[in-house]
Amino acid sequence: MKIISFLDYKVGRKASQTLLELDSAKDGLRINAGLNLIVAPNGKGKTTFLQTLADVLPALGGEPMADGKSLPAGRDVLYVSEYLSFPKFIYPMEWVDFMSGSRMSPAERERELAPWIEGFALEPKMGSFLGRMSQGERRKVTWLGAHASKKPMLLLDEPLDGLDLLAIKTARAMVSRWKEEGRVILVVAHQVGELIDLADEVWLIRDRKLLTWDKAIGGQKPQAMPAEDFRSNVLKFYS
Amino acid sequence: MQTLPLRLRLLNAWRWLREYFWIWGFLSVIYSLTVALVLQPLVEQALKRELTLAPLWISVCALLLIPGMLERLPLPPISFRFFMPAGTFSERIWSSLGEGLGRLYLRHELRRGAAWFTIVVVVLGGSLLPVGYRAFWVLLAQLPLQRALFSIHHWRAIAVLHHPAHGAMRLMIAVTSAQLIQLGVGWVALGAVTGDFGQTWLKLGAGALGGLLAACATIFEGDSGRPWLVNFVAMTAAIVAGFLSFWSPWFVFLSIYGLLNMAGRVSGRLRSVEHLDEDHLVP
Repeated sequence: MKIISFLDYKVGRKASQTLLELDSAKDGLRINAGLNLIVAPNGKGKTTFLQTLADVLPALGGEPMADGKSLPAGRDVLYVSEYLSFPKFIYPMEWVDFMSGSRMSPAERERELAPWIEGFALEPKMGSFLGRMSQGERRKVTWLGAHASKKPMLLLDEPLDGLDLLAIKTARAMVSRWKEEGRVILVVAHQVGELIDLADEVWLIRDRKLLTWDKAIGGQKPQAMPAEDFRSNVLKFYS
Repeated sequence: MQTLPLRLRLLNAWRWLREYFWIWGFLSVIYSLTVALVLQPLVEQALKRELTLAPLWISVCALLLIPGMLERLPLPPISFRFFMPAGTFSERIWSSLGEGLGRLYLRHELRRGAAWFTIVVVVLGGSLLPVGYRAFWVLLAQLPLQRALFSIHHWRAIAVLHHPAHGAMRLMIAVTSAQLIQLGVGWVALGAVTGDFGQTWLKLGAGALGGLLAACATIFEGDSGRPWLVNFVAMTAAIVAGFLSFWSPWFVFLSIYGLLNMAGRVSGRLRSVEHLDEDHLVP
């Protein structure tokens, strides 16, 4: 999967309140493989957009396309919610298997996930039930699940919430790996400073449209900007 | 952790009531009255006397709070490693089963102390029933499902986030599978405890099975699986199908048909999940 485009796609929770209207034919809108950050104030429809792409919410109209064909959300898209809902008596690796939809053998799992488990400092917790882990530790488990999933499109809603500095370092390394694998990664985050230098595109929302950084603000690339300048540019755009 | 001041808690409770009281109150009255009306002739037949509806109705409402309490019991998980090979409930059986939601649900459910404690209650309760009232074990056997229904709304949120297209059917199959295992264990244990593996025991098994399958078909009903409301709906289905199956085991096939029919129709029911935007730890 390389390019996501939209065919008169309308997103919102109610038909009377469309939050986003996306049409690649009209707007030239295309989301490419790599890390795509969406930066917008609360209530602009960021989470609704991700949930609709993942088919958790029904679209109000139109459809998303992957490389010119209808996007098979169930097969190709993994949505990782901002909210952490877990069953109490499930081990982290069982959740990883469930979330990723993978049926890896223990040996494959060991080979694939061991470095990341170490990076997240989760080794002592892998034998504990999810119900006995902290919020931050559960968040790390969702990162493992996203990594174990082989789906080409990852939609991550506030994935850095609750992560400590060391975990953020590991999460950044994981994102770099996904980029190398050519996955489409859409991230909604308020603490974008942690990921901005890895981003291939930064998207902003105005008047129900998804705008690239160049179209919305222009000038210097956000990836090359000091975090303070990035913030002031975004604030100016939304003020 | 700091608790909310009393004034804010009262205000919150008042606003919650204002928001939901009429619709949920109205639905719970209808559903609970239905349970009482369906149950009334059966109880009258067993007690050989007429009963007024009001006390029965109140009893039904109160009794259906018991599974909610059982679901909330903070019991530790059960480990089967003492008498079963390591990994039985984490790898061997379930990893050979189909997709992820079913495996996850079964693993979680069968590890829960509350689940097994409820089976003990069902077996002991059944063994204490006087001989003439044994048929009521068909209803008692619904306790594990009634307990599980008090957390079904959390599972619906998990299902919609991870399997939006087929999650409803998968969750229905998962709940039914877990309940069939629990019913099987409870039924065999009842036979062992009472020392009766005869015709009555077989009829009780058929009745409980028919009731359970019919009730499992309703897990997305009751204002989309809302605790207590869905319990009433499931109980109504269980009473009707349970006693018909007890009377003639052929009715079990009707329950099976109802369940399969419903499983094929529920795909859209996850769309009505509310409160996705909350962290949940499923008990």
